[in-house]
Amino acid sequence: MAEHALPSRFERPNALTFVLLVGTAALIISSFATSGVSFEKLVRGFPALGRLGAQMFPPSIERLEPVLWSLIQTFQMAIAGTVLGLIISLPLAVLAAPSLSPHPFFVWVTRGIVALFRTVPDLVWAIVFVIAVGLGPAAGVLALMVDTTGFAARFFAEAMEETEKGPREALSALGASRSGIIFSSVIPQAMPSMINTSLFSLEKATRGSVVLGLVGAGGIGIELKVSLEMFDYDQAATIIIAIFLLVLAVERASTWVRNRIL
Amino acid sequence: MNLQVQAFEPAAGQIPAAISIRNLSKSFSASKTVFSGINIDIAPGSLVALIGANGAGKSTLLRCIPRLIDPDGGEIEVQGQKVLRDARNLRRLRSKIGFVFQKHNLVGRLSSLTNVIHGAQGRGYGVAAWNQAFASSAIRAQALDCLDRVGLAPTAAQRADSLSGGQSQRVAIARALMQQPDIVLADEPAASLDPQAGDEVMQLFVTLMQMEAKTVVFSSHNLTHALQFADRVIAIAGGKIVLDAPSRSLGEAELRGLYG
Repeated sequence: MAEHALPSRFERPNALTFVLLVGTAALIISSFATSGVSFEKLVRGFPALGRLGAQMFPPSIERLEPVLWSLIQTFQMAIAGTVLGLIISLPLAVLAAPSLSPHPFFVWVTRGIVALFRTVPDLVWAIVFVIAVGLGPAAGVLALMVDTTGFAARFFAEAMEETEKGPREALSALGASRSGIIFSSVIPQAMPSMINTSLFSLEKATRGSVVLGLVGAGGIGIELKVSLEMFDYDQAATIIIAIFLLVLAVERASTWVRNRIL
Repeated sequence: MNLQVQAFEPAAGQIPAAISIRNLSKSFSASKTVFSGINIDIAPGSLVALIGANGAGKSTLLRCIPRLIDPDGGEIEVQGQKVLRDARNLRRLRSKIGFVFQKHNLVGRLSSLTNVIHGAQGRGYGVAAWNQAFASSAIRAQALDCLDRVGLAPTAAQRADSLSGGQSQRVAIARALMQQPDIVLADEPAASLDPQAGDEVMQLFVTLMQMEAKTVVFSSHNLTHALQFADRVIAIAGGKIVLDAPSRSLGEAELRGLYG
């Protein structure tokens, strides 16, 4: 038998931890209570779900061609928005990285802009751009550009900050310019992480581009909205399957590229 | 122990010192003074070894010369020009000073050739020296020649992170050659290598720099290297220069005494 007593299985929480635990539990319970979600409601909803499912199948291929064109347009919007967003992200990331930025003021301002881009949902940006440039894919592309910038600039800046300082110091020591150091040392080192972020941005933009049509910003979303509003659920099923296949294809392709390049 | 401190100051009317350090001081906190009152003149074309125990301030002193670290006080002149913080002046002066680091500091994802081409950035080649893909044929040929001189031309297309420690350090030397500086500072260039590779790298480094008549200052813990390769040895201890003498007048046992 050991001479020493076994420690207790659980540590007694201190007063602050106890208050935080109780507060978190209260927040979770109140969230469920306010939203009105219940198992009973879910069970009562099953017959309606069944009816919707029955109306959706078999999916209609009556408007397959326009649906496919809309799908292609959606993907093109995603690509254009992502590319524009990535291009804008690069200089913003340099300005937002404390060790690369010319002045802390730029870090502060750029991080603020990037945070604004990231925290406002893409659907809200789509509404803003529909008001600004009118209905259609251009508004969608601009919304995706802003959303991608908010996402990619932050991760680009972090990737740049995490690069080894030694090669930078070596270039600085031989009299290289700031841009020389960034393009010769920082970006090549950050490249794997930046490619990863770019691929995730494309996946994110593809998913995002689908719903932008709901607010008139082009793409397949508008087709889905019209089908649902006209109770053409079999046609809506075709669109949902098409969206699923597009998102899946983009995710698979980006995983393949990631594995090949990185 | 018979330690000698004797500054190598150029006489009036002579060519200015390659490096002139006056009353230099540096501390990292109020209680941690690295060195103070350092005065050194280094003649053009000379080969100087900087020795001292760990933490003596050898690396800090070397880094102060091109202001990779800002000194707290004192003055540094390179070829008669003050090394100031002003960015344009600093870049111009740094372009005359090659720096070989203890760890090679290559960009691992780029090829040996591109890493050597980076050396041309100090010569004002801008975008053309960012990557071998953008470089002119002349620059690419020069870089390959530098690689050839360190015996690594066959690795030109190889990624730097696939090279051994000794090979990487040789690429770093090739990068310094590509820069075409007048002065080369080396911070324990053989310290991270095994003894044999370390000897080879030091031999190559010193031979190449002597062929180009560069002024060289290297720090080292290897007293054999200091005596074999340098024509002058400067030792730092307790934040002061405790020995400054021609290497031919010194013995290894004498220097070992500095390490306690």
